[in-house]
Amino acid sequence: MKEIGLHGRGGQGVVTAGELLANIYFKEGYEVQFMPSYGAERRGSPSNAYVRVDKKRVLHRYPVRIPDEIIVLNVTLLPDLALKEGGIALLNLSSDVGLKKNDKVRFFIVDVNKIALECKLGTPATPHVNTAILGAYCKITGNFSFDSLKKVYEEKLGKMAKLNIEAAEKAYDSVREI
Amino acid sequence: MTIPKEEILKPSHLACPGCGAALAMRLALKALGRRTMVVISACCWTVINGTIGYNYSGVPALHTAFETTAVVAAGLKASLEMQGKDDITVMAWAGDGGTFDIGLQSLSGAAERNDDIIYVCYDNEAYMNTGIQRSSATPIGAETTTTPSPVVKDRPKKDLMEIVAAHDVPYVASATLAYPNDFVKKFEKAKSKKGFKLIHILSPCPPGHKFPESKTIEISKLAVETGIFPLYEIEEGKYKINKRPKFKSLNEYLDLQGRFRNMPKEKREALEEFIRKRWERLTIKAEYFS
Amino acid sequence: MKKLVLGGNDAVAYAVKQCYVDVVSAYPITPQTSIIENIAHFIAKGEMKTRFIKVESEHSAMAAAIGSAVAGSRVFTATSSQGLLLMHEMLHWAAGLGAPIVMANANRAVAPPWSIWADQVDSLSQRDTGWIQFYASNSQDAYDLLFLSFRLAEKVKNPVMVCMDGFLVTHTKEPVATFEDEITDFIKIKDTPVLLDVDKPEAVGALAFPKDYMPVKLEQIKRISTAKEEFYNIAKEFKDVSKKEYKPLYTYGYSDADIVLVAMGSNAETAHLAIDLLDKEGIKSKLIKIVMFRPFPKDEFKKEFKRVKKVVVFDRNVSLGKSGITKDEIAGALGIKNIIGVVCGLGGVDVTEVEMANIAKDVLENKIKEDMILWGEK
Repeated sequence: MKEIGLHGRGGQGVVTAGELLANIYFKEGYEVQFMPSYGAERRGSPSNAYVRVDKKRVLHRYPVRIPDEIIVLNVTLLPDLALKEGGIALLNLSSDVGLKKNDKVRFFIVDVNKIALECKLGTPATPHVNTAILGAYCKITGNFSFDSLKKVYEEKLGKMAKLNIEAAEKAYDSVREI
Repeated sequence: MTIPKEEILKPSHLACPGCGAALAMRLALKALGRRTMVVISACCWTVINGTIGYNYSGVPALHTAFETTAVVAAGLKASLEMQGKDDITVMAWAGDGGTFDIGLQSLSGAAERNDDIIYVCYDNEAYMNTGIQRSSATPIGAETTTTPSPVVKDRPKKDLMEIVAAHDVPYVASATLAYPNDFVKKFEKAKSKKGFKLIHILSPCPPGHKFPESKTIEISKLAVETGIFPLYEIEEGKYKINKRPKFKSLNEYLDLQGRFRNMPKEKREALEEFIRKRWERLTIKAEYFS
Repeated sequence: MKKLVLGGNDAVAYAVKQCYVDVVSAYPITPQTSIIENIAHFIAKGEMKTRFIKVESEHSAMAAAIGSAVAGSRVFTATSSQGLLLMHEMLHWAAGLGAPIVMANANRAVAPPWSIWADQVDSLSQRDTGWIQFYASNSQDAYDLLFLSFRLAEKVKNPVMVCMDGFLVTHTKEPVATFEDEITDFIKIKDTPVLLDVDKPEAVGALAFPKDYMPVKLEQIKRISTAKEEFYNIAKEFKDVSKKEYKPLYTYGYSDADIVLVAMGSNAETAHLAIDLLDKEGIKSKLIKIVMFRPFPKDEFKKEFKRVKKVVVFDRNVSLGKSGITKDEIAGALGIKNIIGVVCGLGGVDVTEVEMANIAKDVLENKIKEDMILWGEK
């Protein structure tokens, strides 16, 4: 079983990202579980969501504790996040300046704030970075085809699908390991 | 106009002699006819309509919890509409406790949604079914078992008509048993309109108000003539005063009823002042919104 | 059949859309709200021909539902926690009148302190209102139980509540096998009562003196006690369409288990993993998941408990001053001694398979001899 944590702040679209990710894995034939971690609905407060992916039905009814992979939409949350040894951290970040690396986990960065704004997703105050970052996730993990991502976006995002796919493509192309 | 001859209310109902609430149901059903369903919340009518197996109202009757008259009626009407039975009138029937107090929230909800029902409050100005306790419809100065002399009711009665009218509903009217033509006409008008309608009926109660059972109509009439119970309607926001009182001495109304026997002088004055102010407001509104 | 990734709330709303519901009356409350939001969207898009009465409170939600149901409509509502408590009076009315209303409840803790997270005390403290109660452990249960509930409610003339743990079931999304046209014959024909008829003017719910009250209650007792048998019948019909089997109690694991774990709602889902963990350590165990809580499946429990030495019941709820509620119900109904109650997960606290398995082992080894509360550093 693979456990993925998605972390951001209210308004960034963490919950939607998790649901889309679960649907992409589902499209690839996996059993999935998407578990948002809810508090009171408020912009700006930390927001977490978890996706579990497995060959057989997922039965755990509690949030993921130590994920195999984390997708971090807001890096201010990073110090409080758990990640398995050998895990992957995908960060919404324009440069690695100031990032404390270690040899226990692999870091990837992608500037989805910039990409989202280029694709007219959200506003400078709250760029909608959730769809772009899954493109980067697709590239670095290779766990599913970009075509599955595209199909899910088309099914779930309606008229907005095109721009979001474009953003995901840009993130796919620009994500890099540090 | 004539009052329909057909009697729908059955004569052996369980009301006290001289009960205003029984007479009110009789007239209301004459106006609305047999294709009517009535929702009755906890009130004297829970008893008047008969115990299990009986239904003196003569139309389908749904008994329900105290505070739910309006919303149960709304649910019932929605159900009938979904089944294509659009021609059936649904009447919510509640006392003043169920309307002014415990049922005000669901009444407000139904009025705000403009649910297509006729809501009737038969107002006997206290909790009579439990043995005369004050409600927010009890007038200043009245004695009840929870406002025993000398601590008689000291706050004015809520203005139900204006509360409901503030929801911008198509029809709000008051009626009394002393003017049966006016009474029936108002029910017929309510039936002809779609949306939320309220009819507020003064319902004299011989044991509760402490007067002889033969005086129900006389008291109803005096209530209008002294100005304590204005007879008026608000139709699509337009006010119409149906009977302009000559403002007979309030004492004529009060002295007939034992509940005002121990009313201190200052309470009489307070009540008179309340009536005067209310008429002042009503007159301005009737002139302005006519 | 078509598989969709749905949360419990999505699944319920999707089922309501497919159940030919005439009237919905409801009021928003976390974590139920997305059910009625989904329904509002289906109606707005013209996908559902349903009247949605947007009431001003849960008390009124149930009152409107009753008004609609007694006149022959198929009615749905949904609520949670404080809202369900506010409805309490009307729950008795619905059951007493035999109104076949189906309601989804998102199990949520009761304040104070304020909490929006999973806890079953809201619906379990309605156990004496005369409602049939089901508990879904996952989105598939929630979806399927809705279809079963409408049929059962109308068959026995009794309201049905389908409960889901808040967030852990209501918002946790997973693949659900949904119906297309194959379910139409099962669900389309309504068997709703028409208690009010202008051509036969009768009074419903009238005053009853003591001699009349008891017979009415006896009828009600009879109604709900037939619900279990009728559930078997309807579930059989459902299986022909869905290939899925529903029973008052669901089991997993060894029939000759040394220890039985009982759970209801989301705990039952995690408990599967505990059974597997115990198996790896060579301990034969079995899960009993309570699907139907009212009427209480006493005979089924008796059958399942035959030859069982130890039982441990996990309750995400508590009857203050007593114990976990399902533990108390099981012990009370069966009079068995070797039953340990574990109160856990109140107000949304995690309960894991490791904790469950460890407790089961301690019970087997007689290290735990009395009811306990699972609480500690997480």
